[in-house]
Amino acid sequence: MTAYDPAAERAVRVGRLVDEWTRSGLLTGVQRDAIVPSLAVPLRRTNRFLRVTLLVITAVILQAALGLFVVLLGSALTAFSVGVVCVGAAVVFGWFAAWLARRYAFYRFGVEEANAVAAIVLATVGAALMTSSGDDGMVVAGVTAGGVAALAAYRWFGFLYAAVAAIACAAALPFPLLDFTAASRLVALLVLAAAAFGLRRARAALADEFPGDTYAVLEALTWLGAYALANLQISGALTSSAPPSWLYWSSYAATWILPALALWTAACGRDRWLLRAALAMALASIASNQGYLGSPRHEWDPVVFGLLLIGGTLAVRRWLAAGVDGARSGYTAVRILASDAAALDGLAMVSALQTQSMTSPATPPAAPGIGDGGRSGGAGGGAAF
Amino acid sequence: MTTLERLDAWRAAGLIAGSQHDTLAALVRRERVSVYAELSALLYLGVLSFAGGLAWTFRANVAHLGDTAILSALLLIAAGAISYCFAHGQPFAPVKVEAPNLAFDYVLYLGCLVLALAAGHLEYRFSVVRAWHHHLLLLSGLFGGLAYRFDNRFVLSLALSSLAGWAGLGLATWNVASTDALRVTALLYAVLTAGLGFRLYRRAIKPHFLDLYLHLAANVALAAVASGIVDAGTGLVYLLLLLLLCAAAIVLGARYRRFAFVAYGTLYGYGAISVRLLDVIGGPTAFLLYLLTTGTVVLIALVAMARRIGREE
Repeated sequence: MTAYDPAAERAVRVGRLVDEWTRSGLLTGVQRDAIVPSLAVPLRRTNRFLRVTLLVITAVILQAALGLFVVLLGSALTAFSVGVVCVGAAVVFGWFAAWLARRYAFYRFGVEEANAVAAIVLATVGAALMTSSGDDGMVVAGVTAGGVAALAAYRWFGFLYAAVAAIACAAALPFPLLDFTAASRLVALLVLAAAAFGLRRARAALADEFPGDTYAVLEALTWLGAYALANLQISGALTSSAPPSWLYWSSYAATWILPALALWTAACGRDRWLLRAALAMALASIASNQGYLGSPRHEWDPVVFGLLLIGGTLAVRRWLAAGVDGARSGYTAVRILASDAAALDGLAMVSALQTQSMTSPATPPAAPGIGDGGRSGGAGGGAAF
Repeated sequence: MTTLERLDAWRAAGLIAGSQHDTLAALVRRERVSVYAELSALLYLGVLSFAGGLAWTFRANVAHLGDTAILSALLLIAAGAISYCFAHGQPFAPVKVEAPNLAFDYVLYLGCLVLALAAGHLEYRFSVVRAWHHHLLLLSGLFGGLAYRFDNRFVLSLALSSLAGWAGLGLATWNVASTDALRVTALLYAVLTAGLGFRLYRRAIKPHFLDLYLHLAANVALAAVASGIVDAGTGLVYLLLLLLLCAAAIVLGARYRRFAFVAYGTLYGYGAISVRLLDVIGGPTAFLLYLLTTGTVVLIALVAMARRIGREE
């Protein structure tokens, strides 16, 4: 059950691929212009910048409308009645999102997304406010309602983030139900493992064809979620008491087993999203290793980490480049698609913000002058450092 | 119809050649997968971690290691990295030049980062340039030259952020001292950055760098002016200036199909007017009504623009 024709959604994705292949020089502009008419769909779309702007402005309008409604109702509102208003608004906004998709064929247009997201948030808040059975009861009601609303939004509109929210809610539910104990962590892990397994099975016959492409991203994110739960250095605060010894060391083992398993699975299936997730997990495991072992942290640790990364990456590149046609088992270090370069261009833009602190001293010099205070030659104990 | 079936149909219709079909089908079937982006991201992280670790290590151990050892090590690494680039890089060309290998861009980036550390250390300890931040201006020029010589966006980012640092526009500055002087400096920086980008673009020297200049300039200018709209006395002047800048961003962004600038103009402009009116409009009901009505007007205008010119890129 979905708001859009699956054939149209497939055509949208193929259209994106055609644009990508054209930008990458694999198709000519003339070929693209000849192909594109066959991919025309009756969906109203926009570019990502206008999509985000439309989403933000619509969210402002919805918030104002709801706020105005609550203000007009008066000051005698109880938590329960505010909850009822929120749930009612969630139903209205959800219906309106579906109407926009059906009537105006809005597809990833920002406006219908803001309505759907508002419906999810309001269902969560409303259900929590309507429950009066203590803090945990409120969390259970909110997370359950939010999860159901997110799942409905995913099923109807296909929003990836709605599916992520639904899975996150399902994984969060065991914590308040089992009093934030070690058992709740294990049940949550089982939920995520079941989700990852289900997604893998669902996309087995689809490969990267819609909706297999969405499942691939979801599966990778589910692995990341499971890893974050398994790594106590990341999510240790989720449980109320200190973990028992067996759990602590099982968790330590899991921080190495999960990335290795994900890497193996990704490498065998040439699954790029899972590969990225595996790399992120491996980096997090290296970073959290000292915390697990209780080893002291040294200021040169980032140097070693950096050298490890650079050396490992260059070794992989050389190994791939030495294969037949510069590839091994289908993997190559050569750039094929223009989108890879575009992603790095975006990284370069962000790096302008990241590196400024590194290139500037934290404070002005305490005392200028060469030789002042015997700073050189290791006799700078009394200097600013 | 699957992607592979479409490829077959396009080949049968003569829209694509057989060789193109085979290449594209191999990509669709994942018979050939590029890990270029992943390896590049790991190299970038590695370089940042290495340079950051060096800075931390040398700051923590300056008394034990001494300035000579620290500066020698930093300069040796920087010189090695930069000379590698001169030895292995392609000759300069005003158009886009591909790096000779995956690591090349990151070797140059590492060299520049470590050189910045060395200059920072030299300035911090010995005040060679007498005003601690002037070394950033020198570095900015040097990095800019290297960025153009080797066609490296990371190093260009470093050059522009060093220039911002020299002008006193570090990120932390916005939280502690939003003075008029700082805002004027920020505007001058934005004008200089955008002007330089345009001038080089017009001369067809690395025209693909223009976006980096424009995004940085737009955000610095808009953030600087937006930070002044609630100031007593000069707030209205800043508001008018911001609205002019936003209008320019929207009009030019729509004209040249750079929709990020339409987004900047819309969000900064609407946000600024709303914040300013928050003080003027009495009571929450009136303000919520204002948001509801004006938001709807903005939304209708945006939808009209999206339908007319803002199709999926």
